[in-house]
Parts: sequence; structure tokens; C-alpha cells
Amino acid sequence: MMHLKRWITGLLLIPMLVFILYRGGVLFAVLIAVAGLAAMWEYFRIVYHAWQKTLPGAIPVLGLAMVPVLTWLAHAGRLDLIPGLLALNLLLAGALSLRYFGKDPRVLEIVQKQVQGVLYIPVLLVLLIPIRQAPQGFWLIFTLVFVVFAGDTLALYVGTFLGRHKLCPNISPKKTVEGALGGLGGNLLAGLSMKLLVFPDIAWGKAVIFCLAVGAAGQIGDLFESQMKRTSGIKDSGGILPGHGGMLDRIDALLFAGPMAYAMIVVL
Amino acid sequence: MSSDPHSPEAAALDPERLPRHVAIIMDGNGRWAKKKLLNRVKGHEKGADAVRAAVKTCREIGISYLTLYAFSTENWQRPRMEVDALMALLKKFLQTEAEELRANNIRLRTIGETDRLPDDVRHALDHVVSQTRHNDGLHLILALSYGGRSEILHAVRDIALEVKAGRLSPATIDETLLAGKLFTRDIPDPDLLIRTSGELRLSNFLLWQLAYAEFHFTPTLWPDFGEDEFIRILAEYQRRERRYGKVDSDQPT
Repeated sequence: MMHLKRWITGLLLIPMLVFILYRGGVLFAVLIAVAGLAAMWEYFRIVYHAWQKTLPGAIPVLGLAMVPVLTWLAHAGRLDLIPGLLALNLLLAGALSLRYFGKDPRVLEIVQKQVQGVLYIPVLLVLLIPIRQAPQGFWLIFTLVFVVFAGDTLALYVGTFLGRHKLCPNISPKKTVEGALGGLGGNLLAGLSMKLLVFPDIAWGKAVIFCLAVGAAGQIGDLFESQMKRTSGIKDSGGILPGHGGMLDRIDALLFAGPMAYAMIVVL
Repeated sequence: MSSDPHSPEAAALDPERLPRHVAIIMDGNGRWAKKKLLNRVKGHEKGADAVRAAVKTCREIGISYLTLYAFSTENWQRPRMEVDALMALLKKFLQTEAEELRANNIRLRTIGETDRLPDDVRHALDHVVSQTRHNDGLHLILALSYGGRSEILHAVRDIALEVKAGRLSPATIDETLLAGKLFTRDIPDPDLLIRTSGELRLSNFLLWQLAYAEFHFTPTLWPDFGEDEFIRILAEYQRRERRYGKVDSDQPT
């Protein structure tokens, strides 16, 4: 039953996502903002697990408000303003914390987690927007997603059949070294086939570096999110997508892979 | 006329057959920036660097006139932020380059509807133009708020008014007369037009004046256009035969 739900959601969602990616522009930015908000909400649910009712709402709400603003800045080509905005966020969160310190000295931890959250989710996510705006941006993002997805899939299959040495049992008991290497193999297969089909002018060496860097970043992103969930004792980040767990679960690899792709494009 | 050549290619250029006037459509700043995942304005900033390099090359090789299509009448329709940034860039360029222009005996001129420029930019422009008007080295002509069709229309209107006022008889209207009413009235026509970024069109640039110019299109984006490519294009120009509609080859410029 789980699998059917998964397939149906996927079948409905994927053409829509491809269409939005194809249209780019404001539509794509809105998608990023929506995904960012959903992921941010789940993130707060995870990290603020211990607070339940006593959480001073203003601080995470500030964090949520950062998502559309950062998305808009990226869309308008003003990435240069992001450090300023992050500083402003910290300033405001810090100011808000003063009010609550008397009631709960752990409020500083709340600020820390919010600031990390704003850095972790919207800042990393909105870097996808300048990539989309670049020439062949549709194919760049498509390649990125394909590389990460192929890595995930191959890691799962290779891990299941050939997995023997545990990768990091404390974080994720099912992951194996063989699986991780299989994942990198998947990254290379997907990325290099895209290079052949869509980016013939890029050097093979650069393409290989891109695939491995982005793939590794994706795997690390996935493990990082698992670490966070473990610390809070939560299994799925949310239930927003039927059969697919939460938004954060879906994009955790992309959150690290996206900025790595951005860095690779700029540097290589 | 030409100072130290930087390369064997530069040395191989025939100083007798250089184009007297080179015109450039500097296209590709925005695309260059997007490729690097940068803001379009950053592309224009890099484009300014390419302008400096092109001016330097012309000066050193010994080209007499260089016209740069910096801003068209159509460009006013770009997003407000980009237009404002371009105006700020222009003003800054004029301020920082004024000394360079003076030191290198470069005469700055403009063609186009410069009254549409913001006041502060126009003042900076007028200042540098008047400061350099006695220089007799390279003529650097910036096409700002320029449109070829409106330039011709303006000349036509002028002529019509003079005919209507009885000062001019239609029989005496000739090419020289009309050319004398264009922004480029005392500038010789371009011999070579270069357009960067791979687009193959004129975009309303110097419609009248480019009648017999050699066209060279390059896929290089303007911020990446450097001295080496410029010299290669000049070498290629020298290999071409210019006939001006006649059969005989090679009219000396």
C-alpha cells in the first residue's frame, strides 16, 4: 500500500515539477519558496522537539519569514545582500531572545537552531535559482537532480546486494560502504550521460569532478539530516507527501548537493 | 603610428591597411554573468574592463576611430535596476578614465540622444568631452542612447524643415548633405564592424554609416573579448577584398 501511494504521488508530482522547472522564472522561484517553507517547518519540528509548548514562537516565525525574502533576493540576482540579511536575522532573533531569557535560559539554543536553520535551508536552497537562470539552466538543474537521484537509487541497490561494511551505524544502520561507493557510481553514470547528451563542450575531467563532488555532497546531506532526526528521536521529517515522508527527507541531499553544484559551476 | 607590438600577430599587421574606423557592438555582458551564476550588472562591470582593453589595443595598433555601441534607444526598456546600474557604471567609468584619456591623447565624443541621460551622467560626459576635445590621438566615440533609424529620421525632419523654409531645394539633397546632418557628421564611416556574443544582426546601429563596412561576427561574449582576438580579426580584415560595389579590388582607404 505504501508503495502504491508512493508511485501515485510520484506520477502526479514529477510532471508538475518538470513543468515548473522548465518554465523557470517566477514559477520556479515560488516552488523553491514553498519547498523551503515546508522544509523549514519540518526542521523546526525536529530541532525544537524538546520544547513542545514552551517555544517562543516569534523566533522560528522570523526564520520562516526569511524563506520568501531570501528566495526573492536570489531571484532578483541580489545574492550579495544575503550576508546582510543573515546578519539582520541574527540581530532580530537575538533581540527577541532577550525577552524570553528570564523565563527560559535555553532560549539561546533556540536562537542557534533558528540561525542554523536559516543557513541550512533557504540559503542553500535558493542557490538553485541562479543555476536555473544560467544558460541551459533547465538542464543544469535536471542533471543535478538526476545525478543525486541516480546516486540514491544505485546506493540502495548496491548496498542491498553487495553491502557488507557498515558506513556509519550510529547515524543510519542500513548504509554500507559498498552502497556509498555504488552511489558515487550512480552519480557518475547519470552525470556523464547528461554530459554526452546535453553538455558536449564540457571537459570529461571537469564532468567527473562535478559528479563526484555533487554526489558526495548529496550523500553527506542525507546523513546530516538523519543525524538531526536521530538526536530528536524522530523517524520521518513530516507527512506532507503521501508515501514519501517529509519535504526535508526529499531534499536533504539536494540541500548540500545544490550549493556544491553552484561552486563547481563557478569554479570549473 | 603603432607602438610596441605585443605579439607576432600584431607585428604581422600591415600598418598601411588597417581599418581607419572600427565600430563594435559590445554584446554578451548579461549572458556572460548568467553563465557564471552572477548578477547581470556584474557582467556589465566586466564589460567595462573589456572596453579599456579594446581602447588600449586600438591606441597601440594605430586605429584612428573607435565607436562603441554602449547603450541603445531600445535599452531604455530594460529593467529599471539594470538601467540605473548601467548609468552608474557609465558615470564611474567617465570619472576613472578621464585621466587615462587625457594622458593618452584620446578624444572622447558621443553620438546619440544624450539629453535622455540622467543629469549627473550627462554632466560627467560633457566634462570629459570638452576636456579632451583638443586631443588628436585615438577618437573614442561612445554611442549612448543611440538609434540608427531615429538618427536618420531626425536628419530627414531637419531637411524637410529647411526645404519648407525655402532654404533648401530638393534637387540639391545628396548623400553629403544628409550625412552632414547625422550625429557622425565629421567622422568617417566605419571600415570594420565587430559584433560579439554570436548574434548576427545590426540592432539599429549606424544604419547609414555601415553601408560599406566589413562585418565580423564572433561568438565570444564581450567580457571575454581580448586583445588577441581583436588582432586576429584585424588580420582577417586585411585579407579581405573591399570593392565598394565595383569590380576592381582593393581601394586604398
